[in-house]
Amino acid sequence: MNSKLNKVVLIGTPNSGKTTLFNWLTGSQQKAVNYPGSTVDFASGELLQVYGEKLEIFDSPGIYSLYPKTTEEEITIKLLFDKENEVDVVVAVIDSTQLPRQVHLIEQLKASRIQFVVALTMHDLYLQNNLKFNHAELEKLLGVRIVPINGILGAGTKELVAAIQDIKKSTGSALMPKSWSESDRVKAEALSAQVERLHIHGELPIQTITRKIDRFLLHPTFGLFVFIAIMTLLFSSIFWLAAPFMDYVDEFFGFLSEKSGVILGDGLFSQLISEGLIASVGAVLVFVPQIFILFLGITALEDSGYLARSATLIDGILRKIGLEGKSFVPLVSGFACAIPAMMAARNISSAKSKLITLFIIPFMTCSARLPVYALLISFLFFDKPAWQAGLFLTGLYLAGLIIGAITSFILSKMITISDQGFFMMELPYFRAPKIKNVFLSSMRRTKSYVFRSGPAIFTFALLIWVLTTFPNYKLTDVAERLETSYAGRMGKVIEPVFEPMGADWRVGVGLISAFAAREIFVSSLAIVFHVTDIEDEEGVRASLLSQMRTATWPDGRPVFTFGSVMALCVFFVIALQCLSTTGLAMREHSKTFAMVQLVSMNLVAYILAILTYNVLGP
Amino acid sequence: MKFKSFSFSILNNDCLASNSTNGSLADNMRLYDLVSGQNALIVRVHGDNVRHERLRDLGFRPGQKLTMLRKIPYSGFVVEVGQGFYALRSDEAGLIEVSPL
Repeated sequence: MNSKLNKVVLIGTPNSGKTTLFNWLTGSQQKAVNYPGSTVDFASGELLQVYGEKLEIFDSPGIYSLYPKTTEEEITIKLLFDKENEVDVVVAVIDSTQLPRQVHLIEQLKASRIQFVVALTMHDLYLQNNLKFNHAELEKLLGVRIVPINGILGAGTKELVAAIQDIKKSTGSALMPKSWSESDRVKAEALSAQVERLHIHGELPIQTITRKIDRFLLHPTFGLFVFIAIMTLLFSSIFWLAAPFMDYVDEFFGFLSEKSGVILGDGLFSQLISEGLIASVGAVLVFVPQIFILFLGITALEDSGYLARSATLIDGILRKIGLEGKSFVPLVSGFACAIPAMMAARNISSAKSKLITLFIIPFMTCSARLPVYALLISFLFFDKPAWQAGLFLTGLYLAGLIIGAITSFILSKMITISDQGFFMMELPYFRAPKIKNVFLSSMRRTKSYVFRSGPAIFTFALLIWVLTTFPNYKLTDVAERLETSYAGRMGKVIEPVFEPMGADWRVGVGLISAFAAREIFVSSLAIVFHVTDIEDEEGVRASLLSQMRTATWPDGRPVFTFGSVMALCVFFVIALQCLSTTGLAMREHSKTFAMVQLVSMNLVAYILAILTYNVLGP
Repeated sequence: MKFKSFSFSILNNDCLASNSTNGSLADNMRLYDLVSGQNALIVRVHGDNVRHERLRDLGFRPGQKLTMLRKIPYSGFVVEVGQGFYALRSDEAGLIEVSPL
């Protein structure tokens, strides 16, 4: 027992205050861990030293009972009854204001012989007018140890740790109770009614306030207006708020790459470090500020209680095209990056909506497309007023959204999965989100993104570097090096493939490189068009633009015309060029799904790009 | 899917029938028949295992009082049960048999 940390798992419904309690117990010493065989993240952390005990604490995905109804709930149940890695103590985290309807969970835990204690969170809210808290009677009635926890100050955590220590691990292991019959439920519901009489003394102020706020926020027209305003704010903040930080990261890695190149001198090793490794790590980390800000926004909305309302408002509209309310957050996240977006799609209950959501996420204009669009738009709108360029950019974002909606609609007609989906959304009381909580949760989610998608992005970026550098890595002329590289040769061999959409081999190389990450399209074009030795991004773009204007096919026709650049725009709107997304799609759904998605999106993108080029004229 | 919508349309008709008799057969009213602000007692919860169990897990227990708060166009209903607020689709709202107060 003493050789290994005792394992304590926090369980409870999605809004029970589990994560707040977890943050109090573990502080910032937490990491995301994977449950074996799944991609669902558990937060795990060691109990803070101030409590004087050594415990390993796990936060788990929300459950409503021990009989799971979604895949995410199944994971929690598996963790609880894992024979290999037994749980020592379970803490059933129950919102003090919602205790009566959680009685069945307590009864199920008792039947399963799990060692557990009840943590009654948000006790401060409960005490707002229920000054009489019948602690001893409640414990006697339910037959469990109950520790009230103050939701603002965290008072009660010491008592909780003491209660956990008191529970001696029983010799027998926990057993999943065979079934929960109607008579078990009726018994639990009778007990629940008794608990309600003992524990609830009239309506809480926060309940009244929530009802009043909902009168506005769930209003058919006004509510939709607020919804659009909040989402616009969230969506725009992932751009303007994140932009300076993304620039810092970008500049830092540019600086690091340059300096290491100088220090290490010439040679393959130096190239590997400065152009290969450092640039690849930079490719992973440049999106971290944006993803972190996105998570901050979503977590704050979630904790305040608004996210459940937004899903409710949008559910009907989304269902018309085969999605559901819970598809909304994943789709919004897709505007930052498809990877956290796909991870957010896990708690969609309907298999069909989940599949469609995962499928259309890559159509949402992720931030890796932005540098590409910036280049293409500055070519198209070179001496035109800025508002036209802005309008066109908005159009590209909308195009992705519309294509996603159309695809979703088509898929919903094609797929005949028998659907077990349901939409019963608990609308929690409105509360001000706690800054520390939001921050810690967002940190954990961001870390999880870096470690999950980082290796894949890094590997592909490095692979593209190898393909664009070898075999003639000794050449000092980078353009020549690229032209004779494996990627360059490949580009020339498959030039006939790109020609119908108006792209020559150089653009082809850019398109191939973009499979590591879309924004690499710009830097690889810069290399093929001899635009090097320019420090800042603006400079690169300006000089790349002038190169693009003079680039010609062997017969003297210009490569970049209105038609061919429009074809590129169409291609980038639709194509799934991010192999890390495909890697994640395999894990989140299946290999077949990921392959169908990869092939069909790129094929459609290719065909429509050819069509665009031919309609608009070469 | 077809079958399900068919059965629901029958339920709807039942309720229409009960309404037309001026509420005297109120015992087979469903949650979606309530108007905003109306209170009712939960009589029974119907549905397949998943939906039925989840509704009961959420606190829709027979005998419990509920209040219809509002209808969200195209989406469903927002109700208050005990200490909690919930949003349900029409499909799920049709599983809850209520007796208006």
